Amino acid sequence: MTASSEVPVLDVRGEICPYPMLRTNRELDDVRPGVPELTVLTDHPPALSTIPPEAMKRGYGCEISERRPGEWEIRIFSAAPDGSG
Amino acid sequence: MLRKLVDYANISRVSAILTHRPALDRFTVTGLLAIAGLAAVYLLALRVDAAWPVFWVAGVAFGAISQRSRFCFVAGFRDLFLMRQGRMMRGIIAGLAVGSIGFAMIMATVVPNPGSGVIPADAHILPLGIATVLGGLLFGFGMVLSGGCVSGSLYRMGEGYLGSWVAIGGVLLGLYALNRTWNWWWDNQISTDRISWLPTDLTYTGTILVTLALFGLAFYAVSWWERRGFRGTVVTIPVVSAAPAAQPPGTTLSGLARRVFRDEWTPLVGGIALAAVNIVLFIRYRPLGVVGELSRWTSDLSATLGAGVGELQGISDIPGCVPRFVEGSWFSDAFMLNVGIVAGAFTAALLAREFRPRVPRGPRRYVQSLAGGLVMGYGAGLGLGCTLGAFFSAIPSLALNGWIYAAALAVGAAAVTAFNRRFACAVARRWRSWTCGAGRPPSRCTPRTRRSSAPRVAPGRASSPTWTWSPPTCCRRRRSAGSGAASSRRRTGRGRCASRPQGRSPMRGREADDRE
Repeated sequence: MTASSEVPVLDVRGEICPYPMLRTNRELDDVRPGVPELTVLTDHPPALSTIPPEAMKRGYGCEISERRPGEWEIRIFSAAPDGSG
Repeated sequence: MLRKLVDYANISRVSAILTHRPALDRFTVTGLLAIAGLAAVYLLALRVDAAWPVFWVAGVAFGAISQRSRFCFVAGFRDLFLMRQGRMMRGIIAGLAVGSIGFAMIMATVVPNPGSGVIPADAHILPLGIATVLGGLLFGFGMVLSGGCVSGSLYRMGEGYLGSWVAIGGVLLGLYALNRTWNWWWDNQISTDRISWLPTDLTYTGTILVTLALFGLAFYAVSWWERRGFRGTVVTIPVVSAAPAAQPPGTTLSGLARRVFRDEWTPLVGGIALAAVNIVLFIRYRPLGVVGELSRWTSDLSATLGAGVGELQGISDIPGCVPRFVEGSWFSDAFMLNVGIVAGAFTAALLAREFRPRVPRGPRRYVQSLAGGLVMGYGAGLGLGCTLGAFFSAIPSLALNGWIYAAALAVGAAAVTAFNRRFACAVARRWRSWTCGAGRPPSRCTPRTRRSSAPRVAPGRASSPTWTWSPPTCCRRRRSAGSGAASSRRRTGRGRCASRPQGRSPMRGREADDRE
């Protein structure tokens, strides 16, 4: 399994609950199963507290950074097999 | 160990956007202007009517607290069923518990002897009958569909969600439809429905004890439900907000101010604070409720447009969220409350730098918001309140109708799962995770061609003999990414899966195939 250099980005801006979370889940489960890293863009603040627990149930870690006012980037990363985790 | 450090390389471009933000940027300036506006309206309201400033302050506080804690009744019910996240529901329960104690203290001073048959006039003790159940079902259904309840949509209007404006439009239409049929409901149902106020039979002490016991039970049940479906290792959420790195030095707030105005409040804090607002408003006037005023808007508006609904029978006899007409005025104390919610959320969102116009994606979301609002509006009118008036104010009023409405809300919210395929599949996935993939999948998850453009990636399915049925992509069982690499993320084996002797479900086998 080789990590691609491009981190896929899921843009769910404009979506409200529960769709940011459901689309992230679908991305992790079905569209890109086993993806080592995923960036989710959202402008829906409640998603910041719903997406991380769901990602963590799948064994991912998360970090949130603010891109600009009212817009966030959730970086979802899997346990790195190289031990940096 | 999960990584807890901010990946500085990754956010460098984020900070590039943020670093040039001056200390007094447009958000702070407009936020301060908005505060001045709130104060101006308060001063104006003082000159008009004694009740107006109180309702204005309550509305602003409600909107601001909801915005800060992202308090959402819909999330409380929906996430419980959909994702087994009980965080918001626990906040709601905490708010109800605080509200119940406060309301009981107020009502005990108004009606010291509850056994006498007298009931406190302003408390939300409402006729209980089919209308309550049907109203709750419709409301629960509509609120999940539109993505926000009535009060939730009001405060999201202030946060800049265009979809919430559409949803409130739908609510107004739904209330208009209800008002057209109100007299039928009144004649056939509501006028004969009886009220059930628990202290009449149980006294205050008994009711409070029973109510608090039920809250404790519900709180525990939510936590149990949450844990039961989760077979991963419970870890503290390693969410790293980019606070220290992405915040330019000039805008770093002091600890307390930052926590109040910038950081998200927990739902627990939000629920308790909202209960405090509710108690204060009830001490002065009556409990929180927003639907009655929206209903009055539709009535007045339709009358102005020449499509009035005529006289609504019996509404002066019942408390709670029914339209209260004011002779010759468009404004009332409840108007101040509703507009205050929007204004308070707007101000709080500005100060938190979270305000931005949020346009839904695609026409489907508009239809969802409008249709959900419509159903929700009709249900709110029928059930004599929304999640606020008939639930968050009714259960603390120690009235049985609040509990019945809550149960109907939950059922209605769960029913959307059958309506919306995506929800349905999430439930199906849950169901399958309970049974650990051992049994047949629920019938509604039989293969179906998806219209979605998402590729159906199912490598290794053929090599998994125990997993012969072909699930659609959304129904596939969730993956565990750390199956091989991180032992710290090994499944702890909660629930029935723990009893599987080999600890290896068909899906685990498939995962292994994927990795090769």
